[in-house]
Amino acid sequence: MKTKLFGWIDERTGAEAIIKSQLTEYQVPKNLNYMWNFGSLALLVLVLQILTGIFLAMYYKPSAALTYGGYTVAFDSVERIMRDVNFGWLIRYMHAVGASAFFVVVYMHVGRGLYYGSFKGPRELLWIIGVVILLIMQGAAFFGYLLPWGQMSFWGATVITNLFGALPVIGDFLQQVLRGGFAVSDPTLNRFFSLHYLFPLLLAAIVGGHVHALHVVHSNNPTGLDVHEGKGTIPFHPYYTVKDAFGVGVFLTIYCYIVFFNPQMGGYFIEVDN
Amino acid sequence: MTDQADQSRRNFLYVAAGGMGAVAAGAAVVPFIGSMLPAADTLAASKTEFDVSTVEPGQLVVIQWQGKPVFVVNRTPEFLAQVDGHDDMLKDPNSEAIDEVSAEWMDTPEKRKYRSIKPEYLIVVASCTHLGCIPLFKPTKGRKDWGDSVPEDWPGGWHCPCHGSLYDISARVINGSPAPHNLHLMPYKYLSDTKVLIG
Repeated sequence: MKTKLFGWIDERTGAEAIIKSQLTEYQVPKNLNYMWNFGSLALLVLVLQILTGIFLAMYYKPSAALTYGGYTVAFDSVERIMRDVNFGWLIRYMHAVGASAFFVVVYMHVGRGLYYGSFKGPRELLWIIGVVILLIMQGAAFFGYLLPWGQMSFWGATVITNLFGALPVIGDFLQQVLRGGFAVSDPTLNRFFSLHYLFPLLLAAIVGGHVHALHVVHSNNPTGLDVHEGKGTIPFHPYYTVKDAFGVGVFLTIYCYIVFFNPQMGGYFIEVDN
Repeated sequence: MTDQADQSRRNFLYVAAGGMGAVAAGAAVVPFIGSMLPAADTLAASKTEFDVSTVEPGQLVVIQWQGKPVFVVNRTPEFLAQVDGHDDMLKDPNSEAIDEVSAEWMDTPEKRKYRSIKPEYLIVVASCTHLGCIPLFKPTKGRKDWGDSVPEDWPGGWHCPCHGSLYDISARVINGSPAPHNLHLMPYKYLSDTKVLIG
């Protein structure tokens, strides 16, 4: 089975042992229900967001300067993505719907953890890393929300940066650090774009830590009684790769329906003001 | 459990599912690569109109067409006379080497020589055919105005500052230049006596 190339890589990385311990011989409780699918779905959406985001960044321009038409460069560049860039509408809708889908999927993931007690020992650190991921996700989403530079973007950013201004003593300082000015303005837009690109990369790294922490303590299961070895468990591959793939199929069906037929979701996914 | 499994049926399902997944992934690549191609507004800007009467005799004007620089020269009778007499110095005096250096209106030896619809107005893509720099306009003969940046028998034309390619006053490349071809022509036509539509 082992090809020469794989043998060469294996000798230098120990790849075979990693694949065995993390995938083909990684033991997972055999009684997981479909609530355990949302972790892999969250990873899928993260990848989709990073991918679509890279392509959007090729055309998006983070500038509040006014154009001859009386709009702003940022808003016009989003308009251009929607009207002129090939498949730009598709990639932007994938990104915007993906942002909402990310939270739907992650809330299900968190809800599963709460309901089945996945936060309890020995999985405390796994849960804490998850909370950090959630906070960074919210930051990334908030920064992204400003980028179209529409009414909801602007006032959303104004309100949230004002929250920091309410802190005693350091409030004004923090607010100015966030805004780069005394109101949400061009420098704010620029730094939000920069951070909007940075945060998903942080996420990707921390998700790696989340998965590693999981593989140390292993998955919880619906009974709440730990079954690590032997009769109660089955290897992740092929059993849960196939089950996750099925979940991906169901998810993509719903996601594609929304992207293609109802991308604004009646104003819940993309507000008319934006 | 593995003992009871129908392996050929299982393999078929693996291949079928994997194949469908590969097709879907391949299809998903289309919009992403497609988005990197020129956008609709970029394509719409692919034609440029220019009034050649705004170019003074002897003057060179650089205009933009599809984001690329284009030379428009108003050649005086003096400049036009410089086109003759150095065919032996040229790599491709009749502009026949590749399609880009000729045009369908080049139907007479005269037009092949002047490389323009109206002899006085030369319109060529301003990118050196070596690696794309914009050559400098050095239209007068000899070294009087240009020093030793040009050869002693300089017929007048262009000198590329990047790697020293030389072109004559019809933008034909001179022997010994690193550039392989004459400066490219682009499709253009006269809409009226002086209005040119490039592209």
